[in-house]
Amino acid sequence: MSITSLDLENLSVSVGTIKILHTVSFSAQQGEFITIFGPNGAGKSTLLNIVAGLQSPTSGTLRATTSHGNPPRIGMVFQNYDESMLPWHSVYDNLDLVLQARAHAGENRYMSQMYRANAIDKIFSLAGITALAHRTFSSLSGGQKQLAAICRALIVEPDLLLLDEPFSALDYMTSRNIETTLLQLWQEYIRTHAMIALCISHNPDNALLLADRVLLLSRAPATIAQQLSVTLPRPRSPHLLTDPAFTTLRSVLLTHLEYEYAQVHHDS
Amino acid sequence: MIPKNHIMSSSSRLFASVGFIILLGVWWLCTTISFVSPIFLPPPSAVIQAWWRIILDGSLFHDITQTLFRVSAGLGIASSIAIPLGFAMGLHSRLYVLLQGPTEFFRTIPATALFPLCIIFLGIGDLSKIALIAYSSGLTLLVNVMHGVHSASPIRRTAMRIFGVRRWLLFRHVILPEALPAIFTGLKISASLAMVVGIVTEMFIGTTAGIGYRIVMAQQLYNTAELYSLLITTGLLGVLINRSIAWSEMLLRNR
Repeated sequence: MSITSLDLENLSVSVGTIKILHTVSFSAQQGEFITIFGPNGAGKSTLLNIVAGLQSPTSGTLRATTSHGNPPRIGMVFQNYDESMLPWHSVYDNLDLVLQARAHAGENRYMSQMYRANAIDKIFSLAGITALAHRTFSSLSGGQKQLAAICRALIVEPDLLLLDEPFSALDYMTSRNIETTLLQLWQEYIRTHAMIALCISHNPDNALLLADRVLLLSRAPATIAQQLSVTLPRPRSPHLLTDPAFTTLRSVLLTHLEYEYAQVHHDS
Repeated sequence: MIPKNHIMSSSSRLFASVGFIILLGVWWLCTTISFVSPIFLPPPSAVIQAWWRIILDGSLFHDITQTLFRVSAGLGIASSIAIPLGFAMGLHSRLYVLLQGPTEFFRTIPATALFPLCIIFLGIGDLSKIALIAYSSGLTLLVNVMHGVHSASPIRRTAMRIFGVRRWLLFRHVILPEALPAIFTGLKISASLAMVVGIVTEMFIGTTAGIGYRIVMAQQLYNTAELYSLLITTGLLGVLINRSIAWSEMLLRNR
């Protein structure tokens, strides 16, 4: 079970007469972590929804090549953790449910409760939330909730890991901590399971620290204005934030944002 | 203001009963100073005596069981139709569009206005009373269940779709827990309504037993002491029904 590539070709989306995405093309390879960076309202979420299969493009093609020949399996982390998880269940049961769904879909190994428990225990210990496993989801703090949501997305061993502004509802320190854990989890899971990650961000630090490549979107109708390779060595940690190479890349992102916002003022 | 914390401390429990004690005191005072004629308001002692009498001769027990039988039969029929139908309407937009109009229409017709028609169809026995109780409580419950299912978070439904959680798993872990509070609110409202309709039908549709019938009899005989004791009984029954629904909700949630 793995994915080899994801190709988007001339993807355009219009809602009524309003153009949201305009001829977006890019390819991602197995093992790549891509962040999509751009101003608010640029159509970042639309792009992610199309990849997730929640929305159809007006024109263009989306192709995912998988080793199993089926459509890619998706693990998604939403901006709103309270509404995307089941707050009445324990953290453990939240993860167990999606594994049970895999069993229902015909993956026999997930039929065994023991197998599911082992997988869940493993990810909880990697994420450092073993102690929270049997707490009711609604009783957790924001950071713990989003960490549980990340675990839920990874536990299904997705071909595509989609993250829709996973840090935007968290405060600075919490988002730094969750980001570090996400980096560790990614590092760990990518060794055994080939996947592609797409993460939306409007925070330059998040975007750069996580990514192998950053796609800079222009404002709506969004096109890919620039692609930026992030060759910083892995494993990464927030210590990189003060690295000169990092600050150089960061200034590229900030210049892009300033340019896009200046265009808005120029037009109005 | 309603206290936010549902778990009352023992001191606030004591305080809650103060209201009743004051009410009882005012009642007692009104009758002792002969402020109100005992025909309208007999003293508490007379009411307790009348109450004790109908408890001892077994008639109160018989009336209560008759009323509770009709109310619970009506409510049972109502729930067994309204809860599944409410889920179906909440989950299938076509069914919702089809049935939403008729539901709203019939909900505006009071059960009392249907008495004559119901007697023509079902006679004056228990059947017509149970049917009327089921009608009014069923429609209220239906609307509540439907809105409970409808109000489920769309983001959560999307997330579940992405992770492939569907059919029974989706129902059991997502839709049911999301709709449960609305179902229980609906049950509480419709149980009160069932009690109201049940007692009214006993008053107006030929009956020989039941609290509604006994209330009318007490009034016709000017036995106000018994009338008051029956009203208090009705109030207590209502509280009991509501409490047992709240209790079963708590039981179900803590499972």
